[in-house]
Amino acid sequence: MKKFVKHIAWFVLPVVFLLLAGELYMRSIPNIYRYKEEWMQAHAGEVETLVFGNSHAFDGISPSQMTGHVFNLAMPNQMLEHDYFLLSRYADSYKRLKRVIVVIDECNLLLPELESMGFGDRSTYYRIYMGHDKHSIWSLYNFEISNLKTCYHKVKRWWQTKREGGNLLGCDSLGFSPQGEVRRAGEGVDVAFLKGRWRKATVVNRNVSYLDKIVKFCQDHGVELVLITMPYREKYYDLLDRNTRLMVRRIGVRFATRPGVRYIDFQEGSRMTDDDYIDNSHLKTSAATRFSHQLDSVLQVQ
Amino acid sequence: MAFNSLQFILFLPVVFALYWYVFKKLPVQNWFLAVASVLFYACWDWRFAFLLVLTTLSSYAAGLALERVEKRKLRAWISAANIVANLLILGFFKYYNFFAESFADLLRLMGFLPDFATLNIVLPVGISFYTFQALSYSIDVYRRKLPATHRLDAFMAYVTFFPQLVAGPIERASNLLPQMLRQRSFDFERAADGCRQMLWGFVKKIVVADNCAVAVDMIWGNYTTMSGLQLLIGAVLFAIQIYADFSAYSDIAIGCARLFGIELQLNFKYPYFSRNVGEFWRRWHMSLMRWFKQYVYIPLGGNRRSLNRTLFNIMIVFLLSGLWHGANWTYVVWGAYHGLLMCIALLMGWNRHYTSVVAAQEWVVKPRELCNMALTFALVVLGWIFFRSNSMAEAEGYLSHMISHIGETTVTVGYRAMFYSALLLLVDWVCRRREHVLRLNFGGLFQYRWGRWVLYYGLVFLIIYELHQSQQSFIYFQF
Repeated sequence: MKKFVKHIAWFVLPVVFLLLAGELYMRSIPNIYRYKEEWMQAHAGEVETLVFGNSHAFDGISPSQMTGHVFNLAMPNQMLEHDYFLLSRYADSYKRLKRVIVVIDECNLLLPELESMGFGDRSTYYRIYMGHDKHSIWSLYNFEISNLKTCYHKVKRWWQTKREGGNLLGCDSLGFSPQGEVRRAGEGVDVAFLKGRWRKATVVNRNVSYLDKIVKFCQDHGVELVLITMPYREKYYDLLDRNTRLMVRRIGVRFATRPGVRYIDFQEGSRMTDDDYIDNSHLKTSAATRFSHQLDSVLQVQ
Repeated sequence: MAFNSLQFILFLPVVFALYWYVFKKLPVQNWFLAVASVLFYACWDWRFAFLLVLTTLSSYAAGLALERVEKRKLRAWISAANIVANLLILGFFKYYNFFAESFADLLRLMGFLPDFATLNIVLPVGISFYTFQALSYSIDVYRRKLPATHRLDAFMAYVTFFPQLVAGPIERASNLLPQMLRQRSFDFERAADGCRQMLWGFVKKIVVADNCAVAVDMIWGNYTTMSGLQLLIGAVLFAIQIYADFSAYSDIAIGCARLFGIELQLNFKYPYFSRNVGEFWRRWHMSLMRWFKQYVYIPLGGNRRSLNRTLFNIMIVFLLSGLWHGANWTYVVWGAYHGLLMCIALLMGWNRHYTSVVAAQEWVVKPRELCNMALTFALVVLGWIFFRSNSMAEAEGYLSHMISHIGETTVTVGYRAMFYSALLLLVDWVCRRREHVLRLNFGGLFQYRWGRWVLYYGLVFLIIYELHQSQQSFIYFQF
């Protein structure tokens, strides 16, 4: 018995030690989730406008180009579920919050939970760095090391940034992520998804229910809610299923009938050209700057 | 609590340490095992732990009553009452909606307008497994093949024993109960072998089955947009997934039981190297087949009556086996399909061919045996399409789309799963004479401890590398 326990201990301890060391190392690497959490903890009382949404908002709305104290809380693949969680997380701290901007599009309305799409690493970050307690303390979502593939890329990027310089966080001090001016290859998103083949009523209803909660939160706190749909490159429209596009618009229009809610569809009459995108749906830095001006002026006028 | 969860990683060492270091006396050990097992089960849904205890106590009481009563008729009534009570519980939780909906559909076909209410019933995890295990005891006592046990601690530990509680192997009372009645001692070799078997189980589950699951879900979810070849690959990957998933559970269960000084029955013996369907069913989910043979097939007359009666008995066993898996017509069709294949094998006289492992003495298989293996695998894969589909319409759609688009060869999904599946089959082939893959013969590099540990560490890190945060549940939990 003693021999067995000794053998097991000798075998298991190095693995446990390595995993613990790896986890601590991964957590020591700066990331946008921790940065945004810390920023909100420190400045939630001063902020006037908060921007929520996925990468389209993260890369497309620059708070520094807008009037007032604005912060971009959007992140890649962020779903409405996270938008609501983050909005309500700092509820006790808001003192000057007047406006909430939420980007709605086919991605955060049609896609199921991150966990079922292979983006479990993002759920881990929300869990560890932002306190999103959707998963129990027994789940692997409490450990960055449980996704070694992502850890590898994260470490690689960190070392690359250390060697070559640059912004490891990938966002500026107000949470905006400048994407540069170089165009990337590829469609930027799964074509079958754009064609509406993934569309499932249960998934859409689930996502819309969080939008509903966001509306209620804003109404309860006397905050204006602005729902927007970001502009896309012409090619993206060709790929995007017409019914999907109409569905997003219908949802936006439907919510805009509620008190304190506005919907602005920038896919209609946007001033962007095909050259303004790094792929089919994400804006270049210069275009994001212009778009943020445009958004700001629209918000000031109406 | 699933084997592939963090809770289990903490639960197992704690239970192991208390079992061997604190609770050393047999009755205390048994009670401890029973309590730990109920706790293990309650992690899913504590309400169903009462159901588990109720099933256990009713079979225990039935056993005692059967022992005391001498009148044959009364004994039969007691046994029947216990069987009916257990099957009613199982039937209510598992089949109420299925039968209500099917009956309503039938009435609609006959022109009636039925108004049956279906209930939102949650299926207790592993109910089919522990119900069958409890039934095996009372039937054996009724047949006087086994004396009734007076030791409630041993009986509780037998029915609720956590390694095999949720997804088998379904233990017959005659194998497991005597082990619960005698003092167990720790055996280093047995425990070490158990750890190795568990390690291999985790590799199969996390590395192979979970990777296959991602591809299979994607293919089945979008089958109307996929090529014929992709659908064929999807069906093959599901065959590998269900094998890797279920045999992994069995490996972990058997390995885990060995840590507690208990031997469970073998459940899988490299079934995809079978050369006909008869051999496949002697190697696939062996504990269920043994149960059906012992408690359904033989009481129905087995093969001792006419040929027609034998064929009928086979069909009954396989239909019940299909229905046992779930309340869906797809399972019934899957069972009927295998029953039909078994009947054909019987009529052709193939059912008792190939009782030993393929190419037992050679490295290379004979061409004829290879053809038989390929044909058997193809037939089994065809059956899995029904098993995996959510409805008959989906199964038909999948099959017809696969056949009508067979000329299309675009493959976009499942490369990783195909790689691991091929690797698993290769390793299985090399190790097909062993009880489990990591029962090493300690030759070559493996004669040195460092050689073995390099292999074990490699497997551990492969598991960690392939961990999915959204851990996939074991397929057989739903049965």
